Amino acid sequence: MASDIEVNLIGYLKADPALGALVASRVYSEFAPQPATAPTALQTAAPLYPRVVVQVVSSPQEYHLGGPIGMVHARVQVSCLGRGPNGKADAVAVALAVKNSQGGNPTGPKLDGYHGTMGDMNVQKAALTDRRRSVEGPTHADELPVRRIDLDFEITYYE
Amino acid sequence: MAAPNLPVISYLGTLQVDTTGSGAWADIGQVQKFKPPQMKVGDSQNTYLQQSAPWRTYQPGWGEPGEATFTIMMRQSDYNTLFGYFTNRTSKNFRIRYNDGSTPSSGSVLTFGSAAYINELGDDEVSRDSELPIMTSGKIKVSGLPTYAPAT
Repeated sequence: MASDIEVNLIGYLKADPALGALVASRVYSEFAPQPATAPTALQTAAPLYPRVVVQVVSSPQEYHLGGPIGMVHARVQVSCLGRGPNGKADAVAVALAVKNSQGGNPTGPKLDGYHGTMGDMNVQKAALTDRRRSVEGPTHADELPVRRIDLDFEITYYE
Repeated sequence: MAAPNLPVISYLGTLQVDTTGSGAWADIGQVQKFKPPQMKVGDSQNTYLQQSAPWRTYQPGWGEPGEATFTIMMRQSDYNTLFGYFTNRTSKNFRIRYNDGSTPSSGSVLTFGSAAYINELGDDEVSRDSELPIMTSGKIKVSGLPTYAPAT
């Protein structure tokens, strides 16, 4: 089984309709793709925000004396970003949608407290353990501030 | 879904009580942690004076089913249920269900005999300096032979 927590979590988030209504398919691994056009043009181009960026921070695993048992405790940062006049409200809404996401299963458990199958992984527990807010101010006059909420999840799974 | 026959973490493990005595198992609410009973079998010495080897010998003695301990976050309804069992000295069937089955409700079960009872109950410290929920802890005295049913 070639389990990858980042791939599976992104698939889970993209399958959630409530989150999709906010960010469409803008759920990225590690960093968002760079825009192909100049910053000024971005303001009116296809929306790049709000968006979600998923990054695995660490993933220690469990051993017994005979070797690894396959259980991994991953710490995953899910960054929820919004830009412009509604950036803060967008980031807050996206963060809430991530926390409550159900991976497309309306009767399934929410991500915060999740237990079950996620992609090809067997998740023992996913828990929201920390959240931080920050703002990235504009560097140039024609840029808009980006509001950011980082959610830290601890996810225990079998790979 | 838990991986069959693999070690699991404590998450979604439950401490349950048979509320009616006829198999109506209900989770004890707000449980933060519990410790299953540490069961023990006594040691019965059967050394005799004429034996040739100068080493004491033993055989298994009486079984002691032990006590389970638990800690819950105090919420009035959950506390009231346990308080009722305690003050009335009610014998109940208690059990632990681990989250190691194909679903959280099909995990392995350790049932505490047939007539366990709560023999200790009380709040932990209520302090001006604490910002944590008030905790209540207690002990369940297990009576008789515990039974274990592996997960399905």
